[in-house]
Amino acid sequence: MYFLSIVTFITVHNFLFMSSVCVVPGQHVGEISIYEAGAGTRLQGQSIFATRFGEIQTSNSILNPGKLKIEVINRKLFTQIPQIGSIVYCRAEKLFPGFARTVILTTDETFLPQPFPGMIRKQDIRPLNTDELEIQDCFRPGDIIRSRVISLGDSHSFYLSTAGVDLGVVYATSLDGAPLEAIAWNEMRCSATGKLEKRKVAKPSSS
Amino acid sequence: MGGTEVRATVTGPRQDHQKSGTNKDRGTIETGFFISPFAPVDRKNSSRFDKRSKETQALLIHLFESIVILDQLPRSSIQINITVIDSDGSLQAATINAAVLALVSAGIPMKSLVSACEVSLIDDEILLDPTQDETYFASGTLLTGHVTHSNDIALMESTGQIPHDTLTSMLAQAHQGCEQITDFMEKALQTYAESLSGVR
Repeated sequence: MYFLSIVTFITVHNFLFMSSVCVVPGQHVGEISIYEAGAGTRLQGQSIFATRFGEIQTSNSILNPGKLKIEVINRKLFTQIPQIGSIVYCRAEKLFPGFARTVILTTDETFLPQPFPGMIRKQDIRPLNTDELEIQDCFRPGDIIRSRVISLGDSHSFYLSTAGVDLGVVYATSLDGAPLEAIAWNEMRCSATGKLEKRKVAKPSSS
Repeated sequence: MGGTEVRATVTGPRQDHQKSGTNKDRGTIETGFFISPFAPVDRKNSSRFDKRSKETQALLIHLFESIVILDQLPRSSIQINITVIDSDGSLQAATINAAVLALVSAGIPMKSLVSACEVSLIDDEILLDPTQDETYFASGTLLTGHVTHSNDIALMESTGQIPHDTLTSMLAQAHQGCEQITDFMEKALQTYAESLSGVR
């Protein structure tokens, strides 16, 4: 009897949980007087509506103290495309004298459904002394680079920048095929042979 | 929907391949529409480029450009592919309903859900979701797409002749039908969500 009551409690609780938090696009989720509209919602007049299918999540607002920020979260069904200012991971594809062509793989720690093309221009690699820099001393095809989107770019690709201590190559293999270890901001060492290779290295994050 | 079976897939958002940068900061919607040769009652070979599928594609693009929030998807395109497996009336309504659910499950931001249904007029009688045989005898057919959780109409298209005084009652009938479809869609989405959370 005791066991049964626990099972009933769990199923009822699950049912309430599911039915109360899953919203469909267009469903009314709150009023602007109580909530602040976050990701996955839109504001029309005084009311907040969901724009994607998912679960409601509320948290304390940073911009408006005393208000709750309401968001619609869906970890499974989620599309994201690179926005200006987002941190992306990309793979260098081809080097040119003035720029490097890359393929953007993830944005804001979310995998993209399809890779987007990106471009790192020579003047965006580092903040200072970009004239005396050679692009092959910074990247090699196949390197995984952490970078920031600075503009939506031309009709072809997003413009990316690695100007920053925490931006640059995060993973690369040497000419011998072994992984490289970061030893300085502009040098990496082959883990197998100990040879030095030049890269624009991202500072390893503390975590 | 009745004997009609439609399958919809959504690809994207992905890089926009169109060279003309007329609207850079908005996304675009592309559609593909294919009626299988075995689907209609009268067997046809290929109908990928015929007039009717072009009309349905134009209808889909027109509808979803107002429903999908394209401002959040700059420089990318969404491809909606429709395959008709079995065609037995109310084809356009079934297509819209399938495409809406496919967009939701692809996680595309939308202003709201839309449910569509068709209403036919046969000898002063109003029929909801007519079959293919019934549309042959209909004097007029009305296709409506209702925005859920409101009384807004996102799409309305009529073929044939509809008397003015019956139009309002047909619209009311269509609204009721759309509300039933909305209930069904939301229930389907809830069960879909539960199946997803079971995996998690």
